[in-house]
This record gives sequence, structure tokens and C-alpha cells, in this order.
Amino acid sequence: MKTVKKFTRVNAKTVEEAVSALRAANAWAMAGGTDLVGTMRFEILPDTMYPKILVNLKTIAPTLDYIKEEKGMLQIGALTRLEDIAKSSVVKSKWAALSEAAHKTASPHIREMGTLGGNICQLTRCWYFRLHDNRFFCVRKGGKTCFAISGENRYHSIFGGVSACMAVNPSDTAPALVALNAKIVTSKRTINAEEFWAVKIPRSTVLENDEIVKEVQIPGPASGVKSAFVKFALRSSIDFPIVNCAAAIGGGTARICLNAVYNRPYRATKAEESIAGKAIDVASAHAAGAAAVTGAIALAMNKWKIQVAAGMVKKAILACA
Amino acid sequence: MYGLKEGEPLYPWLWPAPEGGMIGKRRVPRVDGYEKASGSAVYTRDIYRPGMLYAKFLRSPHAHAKIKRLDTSKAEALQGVRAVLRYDDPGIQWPKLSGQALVSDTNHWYEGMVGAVVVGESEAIVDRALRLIELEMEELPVILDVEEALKPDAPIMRPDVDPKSNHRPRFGPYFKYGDIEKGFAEADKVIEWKAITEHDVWAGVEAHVGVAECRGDYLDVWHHGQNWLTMMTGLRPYSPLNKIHLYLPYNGAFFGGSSLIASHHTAEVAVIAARRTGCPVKVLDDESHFVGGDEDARSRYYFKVGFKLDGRITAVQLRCYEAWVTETTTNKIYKGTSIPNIYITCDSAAYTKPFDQCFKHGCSTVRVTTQVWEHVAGELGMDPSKIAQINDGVEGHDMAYVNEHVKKPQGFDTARDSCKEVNELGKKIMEWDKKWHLPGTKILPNGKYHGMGYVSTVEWAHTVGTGGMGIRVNADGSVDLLATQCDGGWAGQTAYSQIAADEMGVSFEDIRLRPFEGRDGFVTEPGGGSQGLSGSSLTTVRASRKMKQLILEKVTQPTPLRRTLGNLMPSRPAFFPNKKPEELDMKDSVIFEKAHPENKKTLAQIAGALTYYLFVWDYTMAHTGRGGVEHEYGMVRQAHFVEIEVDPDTGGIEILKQVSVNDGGKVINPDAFNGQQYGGAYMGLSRSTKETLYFDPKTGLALNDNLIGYPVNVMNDVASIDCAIVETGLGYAPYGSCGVGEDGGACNHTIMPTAVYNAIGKYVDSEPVTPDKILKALGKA
Ligand SMILES: Cc1cc2nc3c(=O)[nH]c(=O)nc-3n(C[C@H](O)[C@H](O)[C@H](O)COP(=O)(O)OP(=O)(O)OC[C@H]3O[C@@H](n4cnc5c(N)ncnc54)[C@H](O)[C@@H]3O)c2cc1C
Repeated sequence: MKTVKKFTRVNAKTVEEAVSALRAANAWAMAGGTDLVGTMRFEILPDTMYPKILVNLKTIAPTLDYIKEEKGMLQIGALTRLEDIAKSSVVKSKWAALSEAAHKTASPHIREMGTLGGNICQLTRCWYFRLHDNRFFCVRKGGKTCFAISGENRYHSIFGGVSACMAVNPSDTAPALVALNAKIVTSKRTINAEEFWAVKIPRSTVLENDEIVKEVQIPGPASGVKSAFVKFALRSSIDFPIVNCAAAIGGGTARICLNAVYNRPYRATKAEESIAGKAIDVASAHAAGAAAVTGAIALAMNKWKIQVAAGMVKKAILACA
Repeated sequence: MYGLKEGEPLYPWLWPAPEGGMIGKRRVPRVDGYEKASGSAVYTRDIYRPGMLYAKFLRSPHAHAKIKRLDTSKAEALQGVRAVLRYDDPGIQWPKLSGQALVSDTNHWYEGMVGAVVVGESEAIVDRALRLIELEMEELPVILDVEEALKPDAPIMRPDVDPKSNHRPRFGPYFKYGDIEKGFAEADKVIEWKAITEHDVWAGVEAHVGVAECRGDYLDVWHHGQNWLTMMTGLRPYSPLNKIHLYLPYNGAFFGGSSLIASHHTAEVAVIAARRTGCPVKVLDDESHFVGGDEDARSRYYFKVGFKLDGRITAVQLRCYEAWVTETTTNKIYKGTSIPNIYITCDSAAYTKPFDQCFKHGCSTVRVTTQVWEHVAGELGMDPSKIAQINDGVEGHDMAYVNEHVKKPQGFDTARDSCKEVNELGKKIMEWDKKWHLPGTKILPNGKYHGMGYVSTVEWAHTVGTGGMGIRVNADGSVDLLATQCDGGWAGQTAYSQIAADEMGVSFEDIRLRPFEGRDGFVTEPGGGSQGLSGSSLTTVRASRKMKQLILEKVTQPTPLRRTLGNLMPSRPAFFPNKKPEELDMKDSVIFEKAHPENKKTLAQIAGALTYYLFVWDYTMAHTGRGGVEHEYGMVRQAHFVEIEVDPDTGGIEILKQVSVNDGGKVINPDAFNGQQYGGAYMGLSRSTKETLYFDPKTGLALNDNLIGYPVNVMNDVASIDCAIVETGLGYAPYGSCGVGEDGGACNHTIMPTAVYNAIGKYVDSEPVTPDKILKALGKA
């Protein structure tokens, strides 16, 4: 493991200070650092993107680390650690999908450091993108090729690419936020969770370089709606999802979102149509799972993930019964 | 032959273990326990020397390439850089082990190979210098599959080695026993199948590191390894061996092959760099987890097996690529079965595989028995443990023959049947007879398939080993075992102290294994974990017995007048005048008269006067026809069981329960023994279900060469592990003991195909058994 290249740290005292510091070239926001420092240590990015200024958001006052329920709406500060979300009785009480997603994210150590803002802004885990020393200068770094298309793509997108990139979004909390119809409040605007993620070079969100997430807002669940989150990973204790799925179902409605299957969290609208208003049982959940993957296109090595995605939709639905 | 006294049983396995003492006791405080648990134990990485420099490797960024230009001038010019040692430096003879070079010896480069070593004043400086090296390379063809490399039209990978062919014979290219054609002719049924392994690596906790310091001709080396003697021998080119001090600090996660081969390079490069710079140098090889391949990795096995309808196997034919399964002493299907006809071939090729540094050949040879039990049982609709039992035997002979021709003449207990005992105990703990079912026939209420897996084979280290040890009684009555320290995880320091305590009659607390700079006479714990304790316990027993005898003799004799440091020490009467040594005994560091136990002296009371005399050493060579018998037979068995659920929606495996039963012959330290079983089960199941490096098919680069992408099991990946011990006394080491290290890891590596087959009724003979393969077998992908 190499020592990290030299960088400057700016301890932002306010959101405005943070935003202004982020205007400098190669400046990156830093929350828990669990994702960002890894990208630096492994030197995955070309020099033109390598973080040279780290803008520390943890020093912002008043702190962006809070969980509160106001007028039935859940408000979580971007700097709130995943472990606090997982343990919060407020979150557990009505927003089970998010509570479960935070709990299933990474390992206890990472959840103690990693924040909700960082989790939804983390870079893709595509192994071509992530290989140390920038071995593959791929489309997500400004190159011309997605090496996964004809390469080792067992964990890649099953719903095609965006801008020729076949990477998937790895976040566990992201699909929960989409299923729960959350809003992301940034230093500039408020964005529907569903529209928050994008394929950028090299980032994974629609955020501008000088824009930070301040808060996540989730409406209280409508009556009769139950939510759940399920995850499939090789090691349940630490691994990124192979596929995960969050669902919020009840009162004749259904919002179902898969992740790790596409560049962005993937709203399984066909599954929603299939299950909304129906009694939940193994047969209806299975049918919705099958519906979820009707548009899927396998790459050479990831046909199995289509089955897994269908299975995860089924499980998420059954967990809402 | 090994006994010291008249009338003592000839063979060490017939020596009774002292009763009621430390041997076999639980909760013995580990000698290294406090240091390790408190974090104060010193590992090679913790070694710092005044003025020490740091060195790191420039590794090939390509899987297969040629260096066109390597410009190190900017790195050399960086302030704080003390040397850049290049692959083409004419003044350096780069180390090679088993014919393999860590540092490239031509401009031909493979992933993992080193082209330059940068030495500087800090790690950060070295890293900065590495970034300044300019390297131009010509990429060369990549072949990731051994069989592809052997095709006639395959590009030649190493024309410098062989311009015509990629074929490389494995050493020991074949093994033959009996008459394979006759075996097939006698069979009621003959089946064929293929099994494969992907590319697992060792991904241990402590990456390789070596430290060296030169003082003129004198050389101090700190080596991250288990084997003092082979490392010492490896240092021959660098200084006269009597001027080298070689230290083996503690090791964090290791195994024999890695220790024997891979880690040596690091220490040797440290010596080269220290000589060149005149300063102590620490070489950090942080990528060593992933660049070091295993010879078992990416193996291909083509089986053809003949058997009778009652489950008796008449012939096993195996064509193997990569896996090394022909060596007689590790060949489990030969060593531990009655199968009369075996023919195995082994081949390899030059292709794109990262530096093939180490071997864990236990896995490949166990895989042969596991696969054979699984497929024959599958074909006959039988429980695989029954197939193992039916075919149990030794070197082609059944157990009736072994009882008559081996156990009886060698003095072993013919009533003990290790295979039966480990199977019965394991099945009871697992409730196997209740849970086992025909493949693919049990779906649980949660919709998942239920599966039961099984592997059994002969234990590894059942032989008498070679080793040496010195024992000294200090003036205060404390006792030093003088031996090399070798931290292999099997609690060697503690176990030797237990043996010595019981054999000498000294209290355990008074004994310390003092890492001693050993040469021939004082090398304990050779090899790796698979051989450690059983290998060196013989010399420990002998040295301890010699010391006890010496003490009992000396206390019955007057001490003569003698001169020490110019002072005249007066003579003194015997501590037990007019007594003979055989009238005395020693227990818990108290020497007493057997007939009048109240006539006693503590070891501390006599040691001050006698310390100059109380030194012994022993060196015991395992003779050809080892142990004084013509041949040692593998009669001790182990069996491992696993219960799983397979999710048909995801192909995910949940491991519900694992049971390991090992026959330790006679177990010295049951807690350490269990530790090896637990650790082995976790590691083996990890490799069986998850661990593999994935490679980009075009460039051949490993894509998940880090501990996030390469999944090693953590504790909660296996719901429960039950470890049990059987003691049949059928090992050849003292008291009939044998070793346990390596066994569980290797066996459990091979177990998952059997459990998955039992669950889904389809073969997935490709390890690791990952969800994609299961879904494919189920026709869902
Ligand atoms: C071993 C390991 C296992 C993991 N497993 C999982 C897993 O199973 N599931 C999963 O979902 N994740 C997993 N992760 C990722 C982990 O959850 C994230 O690293 C973590 O949530 C990031 O939070 P952070 O506060 O540390 O972010 P940082 O590392 O500080 O930042 C991450 C990224 O987000 C940006 N950022 C951070 N905060 C803000 C903000 N407020 N506004 C704008 N941009 C911001 C940073 O600039 C950076 O690009 C794993 C990580 C590791 C190292």
C-alpha cells in the first residue's frame, strides 16, 4: 500500500466556506473519508482528477450530523453516520427500508465513520475503474473505452450502459431513498432522490463540483405502507451488494428500487405495476420479480445477475407483507 | 533406536505420555498469549533499526510484457533516495527460489515481477520515487488458461526458456500404482468428469517484509518466515553463515509454502540493498498477498474412475494440469485408501499466471479423494462417508492387511480404526444420519435447498520428524528450552514447554522456550504448520529425558572444587548422598526420594550449585525408513462435514454448520489443536465458496487484488463450527501423535462441491462454488 500523495486539507466552518473551497481545481468534499481516502491510496484516478484539496465537511457548524422527525418528515443531516441511522429508533419506526439498508452497509467500522452523504455520493466500485494506479483509463475517467463490455463483467450492469459505461451504483442506502421517495437537499437545490444519480466523470451524482449534500428528507409513510430492504452479497458482513432492493408497498401503491444492477439505482416500475394493489404472496412476488427484469440485457458473464435481481425483488416484496 | 534407556520401547509412538501433567490439558496459558493479545508481540514489520532505510518494488504493470525503456534517473535524483537497484544491474545476483525469480532476470516481465527496487529514507520518499520511474513496455500475448497454452497454435510465452513449446513438466510428472487397465476391466461402472479450481491466493494478514543490517561481514537478518534453516541456507551467498544472525520474529497469518518460498526473496533483497547502501534496510512487499500465485490455482482435473456396485473403487485415473498431486508422500488417494490401481499425470505450461510463488498442495491432493468419494457416491446413490469407509486403507491395502502387516509389527493398537472413529464422531455431532439425504431431494420450508457435504482423508504430519533442542537449567531453577522460534500458529512454544514439563518433572511455569540462534543442533519446528509439532516433539522428549537423568545423577554426586571467573568454588557434598539416581524422581520442580518423599529439594535449591553442569542437547534425525521402521503408513484420518442452504433465487450459499474431526493420535495441547481446526475450517470454506482472483481477459491483469474485492471469510460467514478430537495413537511421533496444521484448511477448501451437489442434485465441480455457477447449474443463468 502506497503512502498517500501530498494534499491540502481545508476545515470548512460553514456550508458556504465548503462550497467556495470546492471551486478550486481537484478539490473534493470529504466526510468520513472511507471511500475517498481509498481512491487516493490506490491512486485510481488520473492526475488531472486526483484529490489535491480535501474539504472537510465534519467541521461545519452547525453540524450536519442529526436525525430528526418534523411534522412527520424524517430529516437526516448529510454528515450523519450510517451506524447512527441503523440504530435510530426514529428511523426504524417508520422508515424500515432505510434503517435496514444502513445496517446492511459495509462493516461496523465503516458504518461508524461513513456518512449518509458519502454513501450516496460514493464513486462506482467497477473494478476497471478502481484498479490501482489508474491501470484502466476508462470512460468514467474521460477515456474512450468501457473495458467491462468485453472484459470481466460478472458484476456489471444488466440494464445496459449510460454513456457507454457499464458500471453499477454500489450504494445500499440509495435504493431505500428512492423507494421511500426521499429528497436530497443540497447547497444549491432540492432534488428528488430518483434524479440524484448520474454518470459523470468520474462522479456518480448530478452534483456540481461546488455543491454539497446538506440533508436528506423523507416523507412519512402513507397509511398501510410498509417498507423493506434486502441485500445479496458474498459476505453479508462487509461486502458491497451484488444486487440489493428496497420496496415500499401498501395502500394500493408500490415503489420498488433495485441497485447494483445499473449505473444508477434502478426503479423497477414493471414490478411496481405488477404488485401494486395485489395481495402479497410468493406467487405475486415471484411474478413481480420476473416483471422487474423483463428489459434486462445480459453481458457475456452476468446473466446470473438477472436471476438474482428478480429474486431480490421477490424477497423485498415478501418482506413488505 | 530413539529410546534413551534400556528396556524403553523402541519406537517413540509406543512411549506412554506422562499422565496427570500438562500434556493433553486444556486452558494451559499460551507462552506467547500475553504478548499477542496485548499487541506487544514483535513482528518483522515492527523491527526498526537506527538509520534504517525503506525499500519497495517496482512491479510490472502488465501481465506479460517486455521492457523497452526503464529510466530510473529521476527517481535516483530525488532527495532521500539512496539507491535504485535495477533488474539489469550487472553487480547484483538476484535471488531465485525453486527456479523462480522475483526480480526479473531478463527484460521479460510478468505481473508481480519486480523490475527495480527503490531504497530511500522514508516510505513516502520511496513511493514518490516509484512514481517518477519512466517505463516503456511492449505488451506481449496473454494466455490465462493452462490448456490454451498447450494448444499447438498457442503463442510461445517464454521463448527464452523454450522457443518451441509452452509445455513445462511438473516435477514428479506422474504417479503409478497397480495396473490401471486391469482396474477398469474389473469395474462394474466407469465414470469420467472434470473439476477445476480458479485462482485463489493466500491473502494473509501480514504481507511479506524483511530487514537486514550489515556490520562488515556480519549480517543481521529479520525474516518473516517459519523456517530458520532454509532461510539460513538461502543466505549463503551473502556472508559466511557463522557471521549471520537470523531472527524469526512472530508471524501474522502464514503457511508453510508461503514461508518457504515467497518470503525469502524479501529478506534477500533486504540484504542486497543493505550491502549496497551500507545502512539497515526494511523491504516492504505489500502486494505479496496477491502477486503470489499458488500452484494449485487454475488447476484442471480430468477424472476417470472405475468401481464396483458395492462402492469399492478399482481404478482412479487422473490427468491433471497445474495441481501437483503426484508426489508420493502427499498423495492422499494413495496414502490413505485401499484403491489398488492409480495412475495420475501432472502437467503445466508457461502462461500468464502471476508469479507462482508458493504451494498449498494439500488442497489439490485432498481434492482428488473428495471428488472421487462424491462422484462414486453420487453414481451409486450412496452416502459419500460410506464410500470413504469402504475404500479406507493404506497404499492400496485394506485395513485388514494394515492391521496384520503394519499395526501389529509396529506395535500399534489394531483395535483402533481411525476412519471409522472420525466418521462416527463427526456424524454424531452433525446428526448426519438424520440430515443426509439423496442429492437434490430436500427443499426446506423457506424454499431453499438443503445440502450436506463431506470430505475425509489421511492426516498430513503423522511422521517422526528431524529436529534438535538444547535444555539449560539456570541458577534459579528456571529452565530454558534452547531452540529456534518459529511462529506457525500451532502454539509450538507452549506445546514444547508442556512436553518438557511433563518429561522432566519441572513445573510448566518455570520453562521458557528461548529463541536460540540455532544451527544443526538446535533447529526445532521445521517446515511449516503441517509438520511443526509432530516434527519436533521427538527431540523435545529426548532432550527432556536426558536433562531429567542428568539432574538426578548430579544431585546424587558431590560437586567437585572448581574455578569460575578466577574464584575458587568449594566442593560440596551431594544433595542426596548415598542415593542412586533411580531412587529419586522429580515432579513440579521438586526432586525427592521415591521411598521417602519428605526427603526433597527444589530445583531452585540445587540449581545454583549445579547450573554449570545442567546443560543437555539432543538432535534426532528421522532416519531413512523413518522411525526405525521400514516405512511409515498414513493410518490417522480426519473427516469434515458441512451443512448448507442454497437459495434458488440467488445461488447464495449459507453455511449453517461445520464439523471437523481430526485424529491427532495423542494431542499435546487440545486448545491449540482446536485452534488449527477452527482456523482451517474458516479458511478452507472461504476458498471453497468465495476466494478467487478475476482477470481481465485481454490484458491478463488481476482486477480484485485487494482485500475489498477479494473476499476472505470473516467470522460470521460460517454460523457454527464444532471441532472434535479423536486420539487413536496411530501417529508415528511420540505418544502416537500426529499434526493437524494445514489439514482443515486444505480439506474444507474442497468440500463445497459435495455439499452443493447434495443440495441441488447437480455437480458444480468448480471452486470456488460461487452463486453464478450454482444458478447456471440450476438452468437459471
Ligand atoms: C470495505 C468497504 C466495504 C463497503 N461496503 C459497502 C456496502 O456494503 N454498501 C455500501 O453502500 N457501501 C459500502 N462501502 C462504501 C461506504 O459505505 C462508503 O465508503 C461510505 O458510506 C462513504 O461515506 P464517507 O462519509 O466515508 O464518504 P467519503 O469517503 O468522505 O466521501 C465519499 C464521496 O462522497 C463525496 N461526499 C461525501 N460527503 C458529501 C456531501 N455531503 N456532499 C457531497 N459530496 C460528498 C466525497 O467527495 C467522495 O467523493 C464500503 C466501503 C468499504 C471501504
